[in-house]
Amino acid sequence: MKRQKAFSTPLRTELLGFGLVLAIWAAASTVYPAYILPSPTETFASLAEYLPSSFATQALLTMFRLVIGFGAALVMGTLIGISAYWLGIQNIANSLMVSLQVIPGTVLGVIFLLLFGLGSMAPILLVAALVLPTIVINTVRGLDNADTLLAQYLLSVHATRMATLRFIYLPALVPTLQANISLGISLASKIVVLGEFIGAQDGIGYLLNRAQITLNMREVFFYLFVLLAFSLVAQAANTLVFATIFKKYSFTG
Amino acid sequence: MDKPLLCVESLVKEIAGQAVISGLNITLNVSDRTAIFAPSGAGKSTLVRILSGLELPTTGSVSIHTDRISTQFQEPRLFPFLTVRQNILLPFQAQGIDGGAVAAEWMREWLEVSNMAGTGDLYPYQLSGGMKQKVSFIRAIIQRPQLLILDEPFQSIDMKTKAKMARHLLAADPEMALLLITHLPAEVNLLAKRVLYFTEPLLAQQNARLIEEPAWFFRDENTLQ
Repeated sequence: MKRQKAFSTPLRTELLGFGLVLAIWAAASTVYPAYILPSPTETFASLAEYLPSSFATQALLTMFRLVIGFGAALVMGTLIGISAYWLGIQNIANSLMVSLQVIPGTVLGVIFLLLFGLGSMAPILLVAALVLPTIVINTVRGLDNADTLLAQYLLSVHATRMATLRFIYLPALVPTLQANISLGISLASKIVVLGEFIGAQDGIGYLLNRAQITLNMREVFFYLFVLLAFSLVAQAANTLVFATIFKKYSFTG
Repeated sequence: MDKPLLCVESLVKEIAGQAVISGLNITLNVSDRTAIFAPSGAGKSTLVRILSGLELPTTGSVSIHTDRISTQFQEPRLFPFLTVRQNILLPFQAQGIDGGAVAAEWMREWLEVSNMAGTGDLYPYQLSGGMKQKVSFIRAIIQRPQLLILDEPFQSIDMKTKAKMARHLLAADPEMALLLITHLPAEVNLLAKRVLYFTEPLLAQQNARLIEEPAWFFRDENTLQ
């Protein structure tokens, strides 16, 4: 019963958010003409007119690039954050990541395009490079919030370094990891589109770019809707995993 | 003669230029049970942190001649994501050793004595303040230390259970040396053979009065007024 509730709550929350976005979209579309902001009904009713036959493949390709780029950023960012903390160079890591964040995505996208040519590599690297700083900064901050009283207790019983990592630092990372996934997925959804604008000839980003050049706003809004749907499903899955598998780490003493 | 288990000599601790402990001497041999009785803010918890190796003294020395030392801190310091059972057995896990069946049996016995049988699978958030304190106490003694430091160990625990736990501890480990930090006369009577009694809020040797018969001294709480 509890497990069922843990599953239905995040799903219900995300569905509510999804419904709210649709409602705002529908309401806004009554203010503007359809060539600027088409309504959800118009957008979905005319799908057959504009949707390419390869849409499913292109959408899967975008998801693949997003997941690989984001996954790499999450793993690398978490490891860099932990290493920086362990080595006591948090401030250096933090400054470096803040500097990286300043580089505009378009510049990095062009560099990756020149280095790797058209294809999946440029969008994947762009997602990884632009999400990474956020993950590193949050990871270091999360480790800074580790419980010092519990750490002192482990010190008093002469705990091994491995035990300190397991009982103090990894648990401190759980809420950070959840926030990183939540924040990172939304960020990665936007960046993958930019990456495909610049460095690919397929994927939703590419289709979106083509549709906006021809001012086909129904198509533009449909692709935005697909990205939003993916992001919401990913958020629901994230909440679900942390509400079940990692639930005990949210308990307070 | 064997070295004392704990030897504190001329201990001084200053925090931001202010002395919180001044010239303190304590010696604890096997089976000694000494209480430090002092008013709030007298530096008792600072002393516990120094004895546990978490802080360094400003001057003076602390020598501990045993590896089997355990501290129960004033706050329960339970790990919120571990059950009662896991919290109690944590010292073994933290040191990478297996407590085995003996530790499991010792834990079961202590949970029963503390009126906590059947709570092994609960998490700290499901426990009352007194129950958390009991878990913290059992965790401190689960490895049967030779030297036990207790900082206000029985907060929020009813008198009857306190007495039962103290009796059980003394019967099970009569050789254990104990340093009890408290401001409650009843706890001194339950566990200590002698008391370092401080009237001023500063752990200074000149403020200390050694009382060899605490049961007599603390028979009437009015003595403390």
